[in-house]
Amino acid sequence: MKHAAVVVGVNKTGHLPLLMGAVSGAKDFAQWARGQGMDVTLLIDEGGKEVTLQDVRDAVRKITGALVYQKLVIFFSGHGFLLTADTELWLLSRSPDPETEAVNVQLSATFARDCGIPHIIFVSDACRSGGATHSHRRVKGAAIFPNRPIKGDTEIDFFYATRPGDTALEVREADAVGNYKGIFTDCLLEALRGHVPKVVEKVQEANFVIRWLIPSRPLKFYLAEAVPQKAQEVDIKLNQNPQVIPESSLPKYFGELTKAPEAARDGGGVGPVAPSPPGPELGDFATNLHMSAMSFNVPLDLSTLPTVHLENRLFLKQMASIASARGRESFETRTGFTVHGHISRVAIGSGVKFDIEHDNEMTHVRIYKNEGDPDGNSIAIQLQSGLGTVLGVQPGFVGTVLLEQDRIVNVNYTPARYTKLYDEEYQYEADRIEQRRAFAAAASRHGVFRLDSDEAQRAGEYLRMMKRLDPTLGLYASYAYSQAGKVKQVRSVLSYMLDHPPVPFDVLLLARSPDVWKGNAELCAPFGPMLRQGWALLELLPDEGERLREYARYLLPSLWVTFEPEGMDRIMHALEKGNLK
Amino acid sequence: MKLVFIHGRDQQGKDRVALQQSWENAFEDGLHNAGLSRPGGLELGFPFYADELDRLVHQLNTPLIADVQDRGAAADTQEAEFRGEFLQELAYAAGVTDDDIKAHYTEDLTEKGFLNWKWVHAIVKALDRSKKLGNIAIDSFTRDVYVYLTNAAVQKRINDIVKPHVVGDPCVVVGHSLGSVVGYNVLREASNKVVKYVTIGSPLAVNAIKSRLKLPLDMPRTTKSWFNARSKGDIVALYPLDNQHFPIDPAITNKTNVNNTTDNQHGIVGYLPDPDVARQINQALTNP
Repeated sequence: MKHAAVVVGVNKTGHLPLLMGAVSGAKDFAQWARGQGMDVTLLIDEGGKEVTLQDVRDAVRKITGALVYQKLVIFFSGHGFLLTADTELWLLSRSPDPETEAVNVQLSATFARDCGIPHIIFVSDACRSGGATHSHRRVKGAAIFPNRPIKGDTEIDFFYATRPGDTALEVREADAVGNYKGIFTDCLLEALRGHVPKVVEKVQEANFVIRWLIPSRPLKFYLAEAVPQKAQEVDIKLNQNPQVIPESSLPKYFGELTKAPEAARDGGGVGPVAPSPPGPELGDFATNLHMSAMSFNVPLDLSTLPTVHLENRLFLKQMASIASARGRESFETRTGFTVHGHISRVAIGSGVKFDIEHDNEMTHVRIYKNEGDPDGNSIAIQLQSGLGTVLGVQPGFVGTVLLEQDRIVNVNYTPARYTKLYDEEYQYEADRIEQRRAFAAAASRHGVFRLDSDEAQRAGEYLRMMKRLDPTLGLYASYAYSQAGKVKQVRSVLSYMLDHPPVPFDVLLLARSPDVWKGNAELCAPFGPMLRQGWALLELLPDEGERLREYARYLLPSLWVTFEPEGMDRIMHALEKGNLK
Repeated sequence: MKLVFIHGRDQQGKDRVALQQSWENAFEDGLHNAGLSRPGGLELGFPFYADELDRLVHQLNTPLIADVQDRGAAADTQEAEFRGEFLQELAYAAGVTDDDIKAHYTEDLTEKGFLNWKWVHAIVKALDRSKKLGNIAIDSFTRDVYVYLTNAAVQKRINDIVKPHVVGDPCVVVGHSLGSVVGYNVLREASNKVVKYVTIGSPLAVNAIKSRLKLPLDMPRTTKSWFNARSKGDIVALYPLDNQHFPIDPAITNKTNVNNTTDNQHGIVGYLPDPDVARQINQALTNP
């Protein structure tokens, strides 16, 4: 079986500070990959050379086009940039100008699902800052895998050097660069070279040949321990927690040793590694919460959860804040929004009427749309700073928008009192749904809301019922399914939501079917994705993507879409003139 | 040692015995040309799937491009994509240019439909006009290949006809044209030893076809070696199965200059008399 690696290292990107270890990390990784017998393409900015998007695309296409590879590793070390917790860009030599000279990791992974290679591994040893310059916020990047679906049976393992934080808590570029030590690559190579026996699995094949394989899954637990430890050895102030999302399991593997691994220095034996006990790391913490948050039967008791780590306490605080931010119970029209904060202006498409009412620290928007009206409309809400967001109007629901420091940090919808849905369903489920949807919102905000194969079915059943009571749950579920490559499940969510339109644009986008889109465009609201990461995936609906491109340039890093003042002015004008709906 | 011949498409309605005899005769011509004679006690397998494929294609009611074009028959977009990709690849290889195709494209060029059957039909007409395909009915060829490659039930039914011929004793398998695609799929699932797989006039390296096979492509597990032969003028066997076009490990041995004297340079009776082809088969049969 043939394996390949495309290894990219970029020390210098545009005017950003020079990195010291990106190229050397890439060279080390390439050397290891060659030793594995992989066909390696090394792309580094050494000796005055640049690494361009076309270079990376050509290298990847050469491999996908051959149709003979079993595994492909895409390694990147250099400057990274987060648009939102789940949307990472790898900046290449010329970035930020032109705006395409970056690798859009999420879009690349989406296309990689259909490339015909059964096993793809993305390794990102990048600083993941969220607060780059104005010009960086306009970088959209592009996919490095061809937009030419072959067969969709690919499993993808993601190895990120750092876990995404809440992009509202911006990591400054200077801090991110200062913290960039290439520790992740060092730790990963340590294990792949056979120095960490507990990640190695002994496999006996049918012909009695013994092989020593390193699958992706045990590496997750090893890296969760080793990277923070090594970071603190380098500098006690350095706090680095990697994020590894493995989908594959044996017989697929990351690396292979030619002989039995070295004897364990701690006396441990060789064999499957046991998952570490739930540590303070947020990914594990959230995973533990998943079971109770996504189940009808398991109670969600937050009081018993470990809260030693600051980030976990912050997570619970955000959940509490989201759960307590209630909107008005109803409006005379049964449709509207409550914004926890002051707003300056509202625009709704198609000439739909509305009133604005200020009430201490809250603003209420009463919308004249009848319960059950399937027609999709967008509402643009501009804050006093000029920033703003665009959401879907859901007839019969009250949307609640939570602001923190003049940024939109959460949105949810609740059936308005006196509606049929409220009377017959919501009032009986209210207690159960509040904390659970707060969990989904907080976990999405931190990039740890996942529906992997073990949980997908159970969570899917739960969400299928709950999304009727809050369309944002369908939204979170669709992104989580899409990220796990489960397009069928996204389509199942969509199919259910189409019975109760309007449907968020994001769900139609992630269903990846231009035909379905064409047949249901009228039932979609708002006119574009409500989550920032959806805007990085617009290529999935090329025609729509082109139409929306002019607004994408005004987006800020955030989970919920947040536009710059100039962008908000253009959107509101377009809604008022009927150019957007 | 058993020798298994897997025929190509467009053999429906023919007499199975007579068809097998024509293959045997051509093979014996090849042996003669190579100064060899037929190995004694040779057991021959000749799976005949042509009638079943024809029946299934008609059952599925998959239209020809001409029917879609002229009578508005329904066809799905994936099929249009396959046919467009396949025919375009063939057309360029045959030296047919976009201008040649445009000459057969009767529509207003401002119509920019995503799925343009009229353009695909124009490719077929331009290919026919080029005479590079001889008497190959390229329209029905692509339809049958599409149905076989993309319909799992059809593929299983056809493979199941071939499979019983490659079980048991070690064998040598020869696949021609679509038969080389069928043979490749069957051998990838086979558990008994295949001494040599011989493909002739094979379209396996055509991108539209190989990208619809089970990926990644590889050497069938129990197949010891693979020999591929093509005539330079055989448009269906567009590319050799070499490291550039079918880069499996171990590599396939190729002969690319068979002098195929059939009018389209694709016919089996023009391939098997080649002395190298016959020698390769004979060598596998006699020195496994």
